[in-house]
Amino acid sequence: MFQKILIANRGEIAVRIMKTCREMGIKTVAVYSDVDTTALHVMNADESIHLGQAEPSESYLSIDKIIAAAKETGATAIHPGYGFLAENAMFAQACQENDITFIGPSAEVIRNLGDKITARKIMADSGLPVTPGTTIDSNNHDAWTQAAESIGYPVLIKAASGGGGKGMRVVDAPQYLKESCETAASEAQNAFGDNTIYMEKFLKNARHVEIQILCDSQGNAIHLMERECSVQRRHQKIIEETPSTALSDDLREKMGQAAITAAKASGYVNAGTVEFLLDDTGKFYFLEVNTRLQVEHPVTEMITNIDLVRHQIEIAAGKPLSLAQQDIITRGHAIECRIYAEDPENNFFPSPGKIEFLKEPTGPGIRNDCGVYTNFDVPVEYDPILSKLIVFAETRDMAIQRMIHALQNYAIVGVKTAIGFMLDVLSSEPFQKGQTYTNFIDVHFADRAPALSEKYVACAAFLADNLISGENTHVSKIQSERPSLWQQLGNFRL
Amino acid sequence: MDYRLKCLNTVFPINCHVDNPHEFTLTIDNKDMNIYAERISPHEMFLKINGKHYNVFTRGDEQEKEIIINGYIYHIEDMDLLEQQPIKRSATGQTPSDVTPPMPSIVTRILVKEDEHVEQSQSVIIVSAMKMETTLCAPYNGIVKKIHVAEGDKVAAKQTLMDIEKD
Repeated sequence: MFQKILIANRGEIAVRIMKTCREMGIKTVAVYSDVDTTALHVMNADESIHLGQAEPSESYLSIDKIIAAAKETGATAIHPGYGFLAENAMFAQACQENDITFIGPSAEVIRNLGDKITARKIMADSGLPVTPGTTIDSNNHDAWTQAAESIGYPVLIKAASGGGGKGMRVVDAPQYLKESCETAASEAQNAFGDNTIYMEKFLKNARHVEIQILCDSQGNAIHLMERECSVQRRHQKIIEETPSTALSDDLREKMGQAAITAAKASGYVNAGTVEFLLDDTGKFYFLEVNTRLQVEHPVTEMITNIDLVRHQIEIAAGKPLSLAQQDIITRGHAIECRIYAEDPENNFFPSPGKIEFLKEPTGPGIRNDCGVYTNFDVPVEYDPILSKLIVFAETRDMAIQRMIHALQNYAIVGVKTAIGFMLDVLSSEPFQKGQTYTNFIDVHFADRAPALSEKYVACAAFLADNLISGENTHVSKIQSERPSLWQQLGNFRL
Repeated sequence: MDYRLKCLNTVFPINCHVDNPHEFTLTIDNKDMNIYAERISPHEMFLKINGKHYNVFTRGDEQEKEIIINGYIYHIEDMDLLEQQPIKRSATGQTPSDVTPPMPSIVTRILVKEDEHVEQSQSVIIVSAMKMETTLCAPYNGIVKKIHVAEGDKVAAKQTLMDIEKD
């Protein structure tokens, strides 16, 4: 087993991976950029190496610097987390060439599956249904126009490498095609270092259902059931749950087997996720394989009682799977809410800034994988995820109520978050009935006004805050500095 | 004391009787509220309102605050204090008249040159924050007089990135 692992990531996922390493008695090395000197992942590690400037290309995306950091600290394995270099075949290759174990599949598997065009071919060849549409491996504008016309609008444009909604655009009409392609290519270039993009038919009434897989290097493969991730904004998931309300035991078994077929067809080793689109007739289509740990992996961990990161590390160390398919027994229901620094009233734009105060929810069945703390400055350079709030309960209804109370007791002061928005979603009838399709937010929450039902209480709190502040020296000082203002007020308020 | 507090486009006239900073009564919309309040930490308060318990979180100054109650953020402004300000601080509901990013970001691409004529809604500059790109558009037809930033610059929210002289 490894003595020391370098975590080539930041934020909540780096912190979460370190927790398992610590339980396994493995030392951890953090890497960080200029703006992350006192980030939580640095402080939680046993040691750390400074990479460089805040720009990802100078820090978390710099393969040379990260390999050098592993060598310098004597780390014999690297866990890439998700995002950054997690699905970068060149990075996996570089690890191998430097005798460092990459905790994930081989460079070849990442390359094949990371290229959505090759991945679709592998899956189609092994008999899996793929999403309707055409792929074009080209950045030629005429080819785009022709492809869009033959598929028929609306079309979906994606980065050929990477995920997380980066570079993804729905195009409804020809006049938006050129600009969308260019912006998508530029985002893909910045996020993944590869500007290749491709196009497929945009399916409107579909669910995003994915299967977690674990495969060892001896050829054993199991699946750990599904995750339903249909509630998305900007093509990025924000609420995930398991089990899916749309799956019967039969369909679950079919999709699980399809995922294992996909894993075997691609020679997959380590933890991965096979994503499917599921239409309302129960037909499912292969979407892509994420060759990494997913953001939403905790919901699977909750219902299976399995630590996925521990299995990733054991598989990477060459151990055979300690679990067979019949050992995977699930119970209860788990939901995850992704807490980003973002403004739901402004199209979910990122809202970076300083977290002036943070109070995490606690209680039975509540887990918060958090990467920030009070007084931490959320940098503008990276993905704005702050934490992932996960609940686990006996039934879906109970899990929803548990999540509502956890969100109500989660205070993040200083940056905007979608906590209020997610409360509205969880309290809504369509969500409670499980009518979660990928267009859920556009259909049900496009013109949302937050359910602000406690305006009187808010006014009372405003005045109480002022009155109590008036007691201590802080406000008396303001008074003495600006007497004229308070004289004016005196007349006004008496 | 009388207050006028604005919450989500509604102004509430409030009559407030203060016994001491921790105990006071309010009348809002003919509703009486007996309030007991304690501060737990600089951003955290415990309130009893007519006997009912609330844990609230606050941020701001005496004129303008964000109040978080049960996960929802309430933006509250004291209209009497705000109206005395020489420059109105509340800028909600304005139509954009500037090329300015909605959040702190980095300039990715500048799509126009100085002295170039632009049309309303034409894309003029692309900024990125936290990996998300946003296209900023010309607010009206005009000539680009001055571009204040270069590609790669870090810019603040509401910073004017270029001057466009209206036709």
